[in-house]
Amino acid sequence: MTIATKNLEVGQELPPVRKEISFEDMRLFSMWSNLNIHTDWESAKKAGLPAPIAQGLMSHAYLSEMLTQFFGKNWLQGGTLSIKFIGYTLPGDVITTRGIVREKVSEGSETRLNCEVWCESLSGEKTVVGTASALVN
Amino acid sequence: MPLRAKVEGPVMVFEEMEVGEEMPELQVVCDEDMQGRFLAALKEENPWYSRESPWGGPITYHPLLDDAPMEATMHRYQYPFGFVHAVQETEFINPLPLGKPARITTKVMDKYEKRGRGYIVIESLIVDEDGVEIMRTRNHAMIEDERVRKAAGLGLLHVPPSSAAKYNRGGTGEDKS
Repeated sequence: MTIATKNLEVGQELPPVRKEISFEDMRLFSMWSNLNIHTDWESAKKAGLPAPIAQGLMSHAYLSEMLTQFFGKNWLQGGTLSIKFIGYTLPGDVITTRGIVREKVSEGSETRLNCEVWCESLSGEKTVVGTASALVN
Repeated sequence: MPLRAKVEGPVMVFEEMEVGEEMPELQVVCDEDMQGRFLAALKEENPWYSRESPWGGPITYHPLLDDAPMEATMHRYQYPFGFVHAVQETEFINPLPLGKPARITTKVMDKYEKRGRGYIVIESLIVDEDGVEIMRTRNHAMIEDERVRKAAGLGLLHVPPSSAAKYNRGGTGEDKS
């Protein structure tokens, strides 16, 4: 499903992706790691955390899922994603990815859309912020 | 990534890392089983990763490759406290057909200090067996020098000799674990 075209206007919001993250999801994602703050309650407590925290790359994947749905195959051929991790995600949290088109830039005969993207918790607190871009037809 | 290293190399120390330093080259083949586990963990149902994609058959789900810089680094260094992942920058160049071998080359691109903490910037380029570029991915990782310093001071870690004076203030530096 590709939504993005060169006719889209700046300010267009991207359809969000919503994920509930369980401890089992976190363990499965970290399956090749040793016991650590992502997979083990004791390790998380020793590090001063209230619970194991999800790997940041899980949020990276959620954003990429939203961007794949929005840009289609152009996302995986020329897409860029740059994000900063500013908060953590705990088991049971629900994360929603969001994005908005901020700029349209000509690249030769093609158009690149530059977007602001982020992940937020149910309370609206941002856990990841960044930018993404891809070409559109 | 299903390559998690078990190395006996030196403990990673911010001051010891050099810009331009190359990590061991890795070979990777992502199979259906690995991919299935990641798709389940992330609740991703896009058929591109399991059946058909615009490029033909299923393609590799990129989260299997996203941590390539850390993976390669952990093939050289011990990092007992894990990385604090601060920033991730990814350029998607081409999809990788599922099951097609790829190689990963990794280099330290930069290092910097922010609010008294050291960060290293590690970049991996993933290329398939035919030389087609797949993905360039870059991590900014905070090195927890305070925890390394404390553990070294207690004699719990062996750190590189050139940093021993700095890190072994309270102990011998011998690995007693």
